[in-house]
Amino acid sequence: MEVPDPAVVRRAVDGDPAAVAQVLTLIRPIAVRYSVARLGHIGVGGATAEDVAQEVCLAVLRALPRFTDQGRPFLAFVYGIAARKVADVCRAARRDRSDSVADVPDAPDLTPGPELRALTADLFAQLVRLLAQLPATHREVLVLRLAVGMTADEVGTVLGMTAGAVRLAQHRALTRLRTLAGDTLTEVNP
Amino acid sequence: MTSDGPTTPDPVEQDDRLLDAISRGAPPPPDHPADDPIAALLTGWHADVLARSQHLESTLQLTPVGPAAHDAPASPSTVAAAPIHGTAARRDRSARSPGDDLTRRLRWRPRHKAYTGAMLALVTITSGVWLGAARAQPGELMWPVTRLVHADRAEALITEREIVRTLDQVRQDLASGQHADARYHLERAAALLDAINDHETAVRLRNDIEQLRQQLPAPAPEAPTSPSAPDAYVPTDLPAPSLTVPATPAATQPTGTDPEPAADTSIQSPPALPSAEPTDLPRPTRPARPNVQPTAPQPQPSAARTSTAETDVHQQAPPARPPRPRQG
Repeated sequence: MEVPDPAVVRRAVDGDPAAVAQVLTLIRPIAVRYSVARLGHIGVGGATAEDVAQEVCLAVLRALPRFTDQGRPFLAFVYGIAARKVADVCRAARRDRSDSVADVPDAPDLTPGPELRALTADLFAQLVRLLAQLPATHREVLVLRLAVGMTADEVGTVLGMTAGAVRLAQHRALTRLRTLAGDTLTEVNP
Repeated sequence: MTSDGPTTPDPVEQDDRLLDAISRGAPPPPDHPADDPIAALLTGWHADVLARSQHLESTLQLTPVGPAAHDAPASPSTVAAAPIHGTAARRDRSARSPGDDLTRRLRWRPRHKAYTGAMLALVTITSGVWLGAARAQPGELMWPVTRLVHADRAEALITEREIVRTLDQVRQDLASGQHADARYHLERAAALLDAINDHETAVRLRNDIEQLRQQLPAPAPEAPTSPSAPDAYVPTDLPAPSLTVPATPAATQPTGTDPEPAADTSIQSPPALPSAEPTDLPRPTRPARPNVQPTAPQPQPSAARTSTAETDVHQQAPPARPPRPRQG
């Protein structure tokens, strides 16, 4: 995973347009992947991963002038914003059960077909169900590690943990997932 | 670390390597247990997230506000459109297109309503005042408006009232036996009748006048019979009329139409009265008519009546009949 250079971040904070664009290009995939990994199942309420990723990018842009390098890495700053946005959406989705119906789009739908969507939705649903049963820290570690593509060290800097602690946490998370998955698998295929 | 011994691999290390491999998009490490149910699941999930993210990123070409052009020159045109394609654009469109004229109508309604209400109130008040004025009677709240707006009607109303009042006076006079007063008032009412334009009212009033006239003791032919009968009770009332009467004799006597002064002077027993006369209210108007008589004395038939009024005055005062020989 590509991490924004601290020098570029400093220039972006100072208002250099080129640096800002560079930073945004780098954090956009992070925002999108994190949102998709966390919210892939939430399509209701009009708030999709697409909207949340965009909001995260805008919020990072807006908050950029306020970012001061105090030893806390820029990725942690971005992650904090993204995590808060996603949590907001989750809360709103839990609260708001209404389903808004937009106009029928008159453009070809390029998204995967119903079969593939059923399969992935099944996979997604399965994994999200499993992830939901994990402690928050374990879940975040797995999401950052797998979906966003961070290394254990990067996850450690973002979450404020040591790399060893991250490794231990991910091991515990996987162990727990294995038992949970074994249970669900035996449930499905007795 | 792998050198620690392939026989007992550290599970933490093993999982770390597994996650590294999956996040790289590579298959699980060869030393990873093949029966791990999680490996395939996580691999599939990772691939799925990546696919979705790439799809999203392709549609969601985000660029910073101004300077993005030289960093992401690939699709500058989609930049502005794509982000708005989300919920915001949909909300905007749905808010404007279907209910556009509705909102305009809603915006116009309050002003329209106020205007209509004001016009309605104005029309109501105007017509109410107009109608009230059209039906107002003298002394009512709307009477001034009536005098302003329906001047002729107001005039006619006043005249009608005056006539009615006069006729009432005539009736009172008749009841009290003051025939001269009654006759005079009757004449006045008849004169006022000309000012009334409303045919119906005019006819009604004329009938009233005629009726009252017939009640009057017609002095001309049946004078000997009729006046005597009512005079039986008159004397009690006499002092008042006799006091008021002298004004006319005083006016008529000097003209000297009557040849018998003796009888008249005998009637006017109180000579000091004429000085007291002027204080009596209705009389001053009276001489106007008697004064007319000399100018057009006897020839007209109508004058006969006016002359009878004069003679009646003489009749009432004394029970004696000096005028009768004059008329006969």
